[in-house]
Amino acid sequence: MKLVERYLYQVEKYLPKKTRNEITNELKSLILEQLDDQQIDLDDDIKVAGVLKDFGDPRIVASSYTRQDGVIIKELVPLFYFIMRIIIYTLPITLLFVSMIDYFSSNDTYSVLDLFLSMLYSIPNILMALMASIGILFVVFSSISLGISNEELTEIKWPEFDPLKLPKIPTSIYKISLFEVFFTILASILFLYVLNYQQGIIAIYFEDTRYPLLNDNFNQILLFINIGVVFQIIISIFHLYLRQKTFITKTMEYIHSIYSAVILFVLASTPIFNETIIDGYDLSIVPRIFTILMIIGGIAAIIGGTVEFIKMFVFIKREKI
Amino acid sequence: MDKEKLLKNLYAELKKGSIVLVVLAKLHNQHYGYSLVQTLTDDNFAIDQNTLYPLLRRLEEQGLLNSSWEVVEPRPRKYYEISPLGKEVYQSLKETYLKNTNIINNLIKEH
Repeated sequence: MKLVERYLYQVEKYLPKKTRNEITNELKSLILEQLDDQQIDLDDDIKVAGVLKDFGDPRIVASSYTRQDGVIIKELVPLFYFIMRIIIYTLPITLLFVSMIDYFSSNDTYSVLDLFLSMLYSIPNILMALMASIGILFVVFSSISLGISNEELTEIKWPEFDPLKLPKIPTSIYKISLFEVFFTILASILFLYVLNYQQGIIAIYFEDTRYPLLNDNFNQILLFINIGVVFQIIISIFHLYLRQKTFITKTMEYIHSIYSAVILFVLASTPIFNETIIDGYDLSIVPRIFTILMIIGGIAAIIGGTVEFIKMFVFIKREKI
Repeated sequence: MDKEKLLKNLYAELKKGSIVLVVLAKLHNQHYGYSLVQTLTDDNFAIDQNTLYPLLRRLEEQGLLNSSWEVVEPRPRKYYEISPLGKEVYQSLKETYLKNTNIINNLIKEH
C-alpha cells in the first residue's frame, strides 16, 4: 500500500490544487481496482510496481489530466524535468568553481576571506544564470513540441520510470513550505549584501549625518556570520531541490542552530558598537538591549533546534509502533 | 522508421478519432473507469488507461458525461454515465461516423 501512496503523492505534486483530491482519489480507486482484479497483494512491492509502471510516470499521468495541448507536449515533460534537474544541480557548482578560478587568476595576493566573499557575491549571477538556462530550456522544448511528429516521438528513448525508486512520503516534520524556503534564501542574500557591502547603513542618523554604529570588532565576527548564512542558503537550496527535508538536512539544520546560537552569544559578549557614538549620544541602552536580544535569540536557537531535531526520533518511534 | 512501428502509429491514429464515440456509446450504461477498460478490451477495442481516464474527466468537464461517487465494497468508485447533452452529441457523431464510413468504404473498395 505504501508504494501506491508514494506514487499518488508524486502525481498529486504536479496537479493543480483545485482538482488534486478528486483526481488522486479516482486514481487510487482505479489502481486498487486493478490490483484486486489481478489478485495482487498490496504489500507485494514488485507486483504493485508492475501495475504502477503500466499507469506511467507520475508527471506524465498528472500532465495528461491537466492539459490536452500544453506548451510542452506531455511526452517531453519528464525529459524536460530531467534536464532541468541536471542544470539546477550542476550549474551553481560549476559557476562557483569558475568564480574561484577567476579570483586566483586575477589577484596577486590571496586571502581566504576575499576568496569566500568573491564566491559569495557570485550568487546573484548564479541565480540569473539558472533562470536564463531554465528559460532557454523551456523555449527549446516548446519549439521541439511545435515541430515534432508522432512518428519521431516514438523513436525517442525516455528515462525509464521505476516505481520502486519513488521517493518516500515526507511526514509533517519533513515537509517544506516553498514560500518559507524562497523567503529564507532571498532574506539571507539581502542580509549578506547589507552586512558586507552596506554595513554603513546600520547607523545613527542625526541632522543629515550618518554615524556608523558598528566597529572593527564586528568585522572580525563577520566572517563567521557569513559562513552561517551561506550554510543556511545551502540547506534551503537542498530543500528546494528535494522538495522536502531529510534526516541529513534536518541534522544540518540542527548543527546550524547550534552554530547560530554560538555566534549570537559571541555577539552578545563582544563590544561591537562604536563607543564614541554610543557615549556621545547617550545610547547606552542600545548595547544593553542588543545583548539581551542576542542571548534570548541564542537560547531560542538552541531550544528550537533541539526540539525540531528530537521530533524526528519521536516520529520514527511512532511510525515503528 | 521500420514498417512495424509505422503501422503501429497509423493504427493508433486511425483508432484515436473514434475513441470518444466508442466511450459515449458504452456509457449509455453506467461504468467506473476500470470496468470500462475491461469492457472495451473484451469488445476488442482496448484503450490505454492513461488515455481513457483523463478522457473521461475531460468529457465530464465538457458536460457530455455525468459522474457520481458510489461506495461499493470494498472501496468508493467513481461511476460515469452519458448526460442528456452527451446523448445529443453522440447521435450527431454517430451519424457523421456512419456517413463517413460509407464514403470511405466506397473509396477503398476499388483497390
